[in-house]
Amino acid sequence: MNIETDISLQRNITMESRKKAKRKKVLGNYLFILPGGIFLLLFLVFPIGYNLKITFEDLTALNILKDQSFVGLENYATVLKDKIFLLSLKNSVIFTGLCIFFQFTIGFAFALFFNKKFPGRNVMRALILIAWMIPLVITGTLFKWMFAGDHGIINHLFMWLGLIDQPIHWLINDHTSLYSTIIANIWIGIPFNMIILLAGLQSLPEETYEAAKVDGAGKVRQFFSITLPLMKPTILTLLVLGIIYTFKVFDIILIMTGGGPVNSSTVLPFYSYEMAFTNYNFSLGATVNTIMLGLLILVALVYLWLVRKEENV
Amino acid sequence: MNSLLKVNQKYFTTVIAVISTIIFLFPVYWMVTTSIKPMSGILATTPQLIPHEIQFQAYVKNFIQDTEILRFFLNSVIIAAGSMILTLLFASPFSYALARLDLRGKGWIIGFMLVVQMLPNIMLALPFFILFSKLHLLNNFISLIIANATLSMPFAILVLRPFFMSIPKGLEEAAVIDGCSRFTAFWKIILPLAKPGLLTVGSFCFLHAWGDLLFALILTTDKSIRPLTVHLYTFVGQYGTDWNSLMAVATVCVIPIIIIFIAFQKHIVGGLASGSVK
Amino acid sequence: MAKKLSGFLIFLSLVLILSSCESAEGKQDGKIKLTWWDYYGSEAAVAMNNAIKTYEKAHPNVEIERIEVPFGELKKKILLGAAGGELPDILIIDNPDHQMLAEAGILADLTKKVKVWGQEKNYFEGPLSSTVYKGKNYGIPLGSNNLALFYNEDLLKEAGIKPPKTWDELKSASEKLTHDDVYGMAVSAVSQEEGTFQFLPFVWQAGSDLKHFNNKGSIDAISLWKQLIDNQSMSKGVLTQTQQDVALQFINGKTAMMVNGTWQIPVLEKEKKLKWNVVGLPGYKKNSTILGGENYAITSTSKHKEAAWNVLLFMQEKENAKKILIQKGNLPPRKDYIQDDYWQKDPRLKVFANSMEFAKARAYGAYYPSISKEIQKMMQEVLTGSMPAGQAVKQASQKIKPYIPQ
Repeated sequence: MNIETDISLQRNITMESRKKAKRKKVLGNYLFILPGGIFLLLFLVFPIGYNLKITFEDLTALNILKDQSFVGLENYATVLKDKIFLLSLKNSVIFTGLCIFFQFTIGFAFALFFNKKFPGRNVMRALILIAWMIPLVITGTLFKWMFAGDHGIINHLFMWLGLIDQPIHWLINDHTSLYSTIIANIWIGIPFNMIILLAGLQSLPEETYEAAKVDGAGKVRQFFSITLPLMKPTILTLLVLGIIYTFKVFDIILIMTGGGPVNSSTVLPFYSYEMAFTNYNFSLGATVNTIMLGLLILVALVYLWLVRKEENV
Repeated sequence: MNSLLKVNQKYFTTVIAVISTIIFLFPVYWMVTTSIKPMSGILATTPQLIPHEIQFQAYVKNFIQDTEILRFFLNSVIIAAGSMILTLLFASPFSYALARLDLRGKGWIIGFMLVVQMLPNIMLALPFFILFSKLHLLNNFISLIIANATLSMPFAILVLRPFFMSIPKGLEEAAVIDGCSRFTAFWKIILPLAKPGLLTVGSFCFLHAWGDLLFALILTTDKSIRPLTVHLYTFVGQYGTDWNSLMAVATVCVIPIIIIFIAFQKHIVGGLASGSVK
Repeated sequence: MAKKLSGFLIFLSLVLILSSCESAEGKQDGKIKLTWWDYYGSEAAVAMNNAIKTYEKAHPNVEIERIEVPFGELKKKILLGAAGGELPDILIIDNPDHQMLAEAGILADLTKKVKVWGQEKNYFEGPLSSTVYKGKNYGIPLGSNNLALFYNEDLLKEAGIKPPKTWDELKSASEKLTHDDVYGMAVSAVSQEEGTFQFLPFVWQAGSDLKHFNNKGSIDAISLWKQLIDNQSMSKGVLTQTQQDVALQFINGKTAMMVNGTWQIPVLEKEKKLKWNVVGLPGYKKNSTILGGENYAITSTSKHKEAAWNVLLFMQEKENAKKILIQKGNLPPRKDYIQDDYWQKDPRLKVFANSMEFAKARAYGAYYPSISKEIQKMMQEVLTGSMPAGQAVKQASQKIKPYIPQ
């Protein structure tokens, strides 16, 4: 503090006070992020650090009470060479891609629809949210029951519609198991997409639409030239959040297929869970987590780049 | 004539809405009907879309004879509400600062929030256990509230940011000129305006904690703080595919959330428009 | 918001006060406080609690806190507990996990105590072997069970067949019993320990073993299951069905026969309409069945090993043990207790009791969970038809080789 004032004394007085005021203001701004920042650092730095540390060790159930040895990058090599890792990566990409695409488009359609005014809209809008509010344990079990090969309703429905003539064991067929979990997850995700998009739609200024109507723009035109551009920040955030959340999904898979049959529905988080809590190789599980995190950081960087571009305009 | 057409159109929209809602919610319907069918109806060769025979045995067995579930329910409420409040308390000023105030490295902070959100729950489970056991907070609501808040806070910060950005600029400037401090301006002017956003994000946080299974499984052993999800999971393990009982417990878990949401949904979704205009 | 804030602060302080009370409470009046983890639910939990209460009454200086953990979570919880230094004193564990936990250093070596006690000779070979690791005792058996073939008497009478005694009879009986939406046979081939548990007896019957897995016997065993599925006398759904699910199908008359365990007897007895009976598993080269059940253990970190051991001895006394075993649907792991009328008079229980002499434990060393995982994968590969039996068995045997103790 002293040094600073010494230096500033030599300067122009007006400039000094202006600068000081600004610095004070900026410092005050940091107070807003202080409590949350401290909390997050406290409860996130340790887990991340711990996780990173054990990726370089050989921590398993068998030496959990003893000393672990440093193994360098061996875990990373093991994981990257593992065929199941590559399969899970592929499955994760399919899972995330399909889920996001359908959740978003169906969710957007619902949002546009429920943005209209009609009797009973509020009740129905709330009812749709149920899908998303149900704890995943229940949703997973419910879809497992619906997809069951014997007595499952989906087989009955498809046979009645004439789509299949023999019941299919959806969850134990390596061509269908992953897609069954995707359908369940899309169902869960639609309301989330709907509510976020709906909130965005409702905050759009009505005047712009009025003006467009006066100019004679049709509904479709309005959607593409007003709604979409104005919604861009919401959509961007939603998609990135969607990717992150979908990439992390594992409860549904644990309950519906257990990653099977023969790993055909194993996605990365499940693979990591299996490493850590079925095979009790905590270090390998942590390594998969870290690699997964690296991949997601790439997604975040793309998002950041897009946001910056947006805010600079 | 014209207005009549308009009214008709309105109801036509309602009909479409009803149909699509029914199709979308069929799984929930299936859950409820499964819970009131006898096992013979559940395993029937042709499925009974409308139950031929209704019985409430599963409900009697699981709720009237076993009232423990109320305790678990209450625990879930405490955990979910606690982590929601903790999250909002820390996230709203943070997010406001990111949206409006002059900060260095905003991009980095946002990036950090994104990265943190990506941490799979499973990655945090083992370290959290070790951390909380050192702090003697295992088997304690606090550890569950903190664990859930840690995961939902970055989400809340990111989702609240656009809400704060959409509030007309100049409001808090005016307040500051009037002699308010930045913080008072935020507390008295901005926060009330952001109420719809807070409600939305708050409900997300609530549900997020409500549905958590992994942390609860790992951080608790004591029945007195066990949330509903762990009870359900135990149930799945114990009863396998006793769909009848499972769906009964599921239904009962979902009903209160539905009631709360129908009661508050005006604030959660509907109030958004009015909130930002006022 | 201000209201919320104050509400939260009140709540926070409340919780803090509550939690501080708790920790203050633990250190009073010189009582020994033992903690206890198990996965016993419903009636078995009641029996366990009653036994604990009786003990506490007789020993007022001991307080036991019993915590019930879901079956699938117990092992995870124990390992995490070890990592965080928060283990209970007494554990009840599924017997195939016993050796792994012993190797991990989580269980206390009880060899001396067992020797002084001197009753280990009364135990059946199978259960006892699951508590021994590298020649040392790490626990005592609590209860046992094994697998047998349950059949629906009405459905078998209708088809005019007797319960099968050999694999060939099993195949033809299953085929005859299958009609409409009723399957002849069911097993649990789920990708969990249960799946391995159900499959291993078939491997042993065919003269194979995990120690020398790559042979014709293993191929025969998995091919038998595959044939049953291919003939449609067993649902492909067995790949997702736990033993509980299989029993549910059986209760509802959707499957005529099933492989299942002793603990299903109390469940089936509640079904008044169902007429069922049980025989030993059909044999092939020889007869065999598998041993299930759980063991008591004391943790290596326990500060009250002596007190915990005394509790275990009390639980092993015949009357106390009997009540718990009956409610759990388990058999006594002891040759002397099994002579009790309860297990000898009931012809169905007798089938299981008789099998105890040769029921084999999954005592394959500390890496058994990893071995089991590979076997489950092999089963999935063959039963879904994605790999021929010979190739899958060969691959699995290579994968499990490093885990098999030499």
